Amino acid sequence: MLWKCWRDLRLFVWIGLAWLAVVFAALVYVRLHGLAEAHIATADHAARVEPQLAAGLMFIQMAFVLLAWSMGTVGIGRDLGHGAGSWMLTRPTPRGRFVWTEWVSGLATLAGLLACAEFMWWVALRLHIFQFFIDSPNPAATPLLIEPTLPFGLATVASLCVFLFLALIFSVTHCGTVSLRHSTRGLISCLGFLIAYGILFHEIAQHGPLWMPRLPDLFLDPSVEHGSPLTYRPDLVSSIMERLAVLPLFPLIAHLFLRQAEV
Amino acid sequence: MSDPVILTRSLVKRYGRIVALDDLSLSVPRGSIYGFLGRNGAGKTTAIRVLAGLARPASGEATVLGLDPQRDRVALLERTGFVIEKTLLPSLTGNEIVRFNRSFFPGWSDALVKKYADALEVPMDRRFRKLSQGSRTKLCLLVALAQGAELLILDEPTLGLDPVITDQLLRILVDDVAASGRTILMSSHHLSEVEKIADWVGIIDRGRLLLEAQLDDIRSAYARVRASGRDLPHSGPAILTAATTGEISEYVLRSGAAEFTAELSRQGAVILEVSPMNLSEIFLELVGKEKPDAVEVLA
Repeated sequence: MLWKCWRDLRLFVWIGLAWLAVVFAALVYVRLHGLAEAHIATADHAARVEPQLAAGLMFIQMAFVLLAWSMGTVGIGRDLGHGAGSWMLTRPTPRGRFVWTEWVSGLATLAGLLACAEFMWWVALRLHIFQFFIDSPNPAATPLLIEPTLPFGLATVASLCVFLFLALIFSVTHCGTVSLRHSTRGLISCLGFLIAYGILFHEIAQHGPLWMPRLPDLFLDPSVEHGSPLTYRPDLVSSIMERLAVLPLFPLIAHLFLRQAEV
Repeated sequence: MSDPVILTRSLVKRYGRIVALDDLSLSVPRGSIYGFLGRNGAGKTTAIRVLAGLARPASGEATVLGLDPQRDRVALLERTGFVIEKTLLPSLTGNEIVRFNRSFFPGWSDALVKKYADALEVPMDRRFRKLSQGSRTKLCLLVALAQGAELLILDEPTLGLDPVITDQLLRILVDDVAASGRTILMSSHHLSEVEKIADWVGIIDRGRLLLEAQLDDIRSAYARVRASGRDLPHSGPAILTAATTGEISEYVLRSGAAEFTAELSRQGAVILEVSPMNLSEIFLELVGKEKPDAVEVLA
């Protein structure tokens, strides 16, 4: 079954890696030819650049939203839509195994792509430092002072936040595709869910009575205070835990649908 | 009937207001080739879906190999090969479908894949969506046959196959599957194909089983009788249908043709013809009736 998951997802892996290759090529070009001002930068410059780098990394990774959205449409839901349901569901395995294996494989694929993006970003930054050593025009500047390297912790938190959002998109689409037995319906259901949840979240937060429990914030970056990219949110860990707890609900719903499904 | 591998009792399945199965009670003996016959929409596929655990009956019970299709689904599917819809995974080639399927079945045989791919002329390196209807059916059958299942349940297995491949398939079912003591339930409305290989027959119409019996018993029991005479009977336990034109009456009898003709003779009738019936004629008589009689088991 893992082989089939790979067979279904591999196209998205190639697309994701191709996107990263293009971005990497552009980064290398810009780093080696366009950012001469960094050579005379100071520690203050580095402090200013760091959040920009984090934002840049997140931007590159967020391009995977479309990929996550599309990835949710493959698997048993699509097979049901193609009329292969009676064959698939007469394989001797619990129906839920299809759902959970696909879900875990999808998340692993997204995590792998994001890790590749982070690695690529890290390499691109090292290229910059490498260039500094070659032809630094400012003898007063030292690599330690000007190193605009994205700190590992911040980069990882940034990647984790993007992962949580992509995982949400993938999980909702996958759940919709399985439950509605059709890829296009899965795509539309994801959009519908995000819009409906966003409205509900906003309405409860703004106009809901005090006794009403707030919904988990599934959209905003959980790592930073809104509007202040340099400060971690005080509830960073609980926010991440909340999102991690919400994610398995979608395959669980899909599992329950598939278990009851008549084909 | 001894040791049935498939047993259903009073199965009812409804889709909205449509009754797809109406009190269906089947019994398929171990080691038999059971022809499950019916017109389009008679309920054959619905019954098979219930047996595969793909549909839940509104009431009644079903067991396959002694297992409940809903509760013991995985154990049942490990031992049973199903061909229902002739649709596999569209983007995979035959070889990839085999690769995917292999891991599910402990009795899987790559040697059988090779053998049946050659015998049925299945293009294994082409994507499923690119295959013709006949090749799709063949690939579905190949995958089911290579499982080494002790029970095969095939829904319209010859659909879209040319006569040569149909013949080849029927040979495989008889020589390779049935000869090794395995059981086959094969639904069809192609009576001549079923008549070639089946030893048991069940005829279903409007969700109800009209007849279940060994094929040889059916052939020997059913008869068409033409008689001439006045005031001849139109109903009786042995009479399936009766039609009278002038003084000529034509009967289709379920059984007891000798006793029936003797009785007609005693009433002064002249027996013009007593002829055996083939499966096709019996089928047409049974499903052609407006109000089907209760199920008949000639076991």
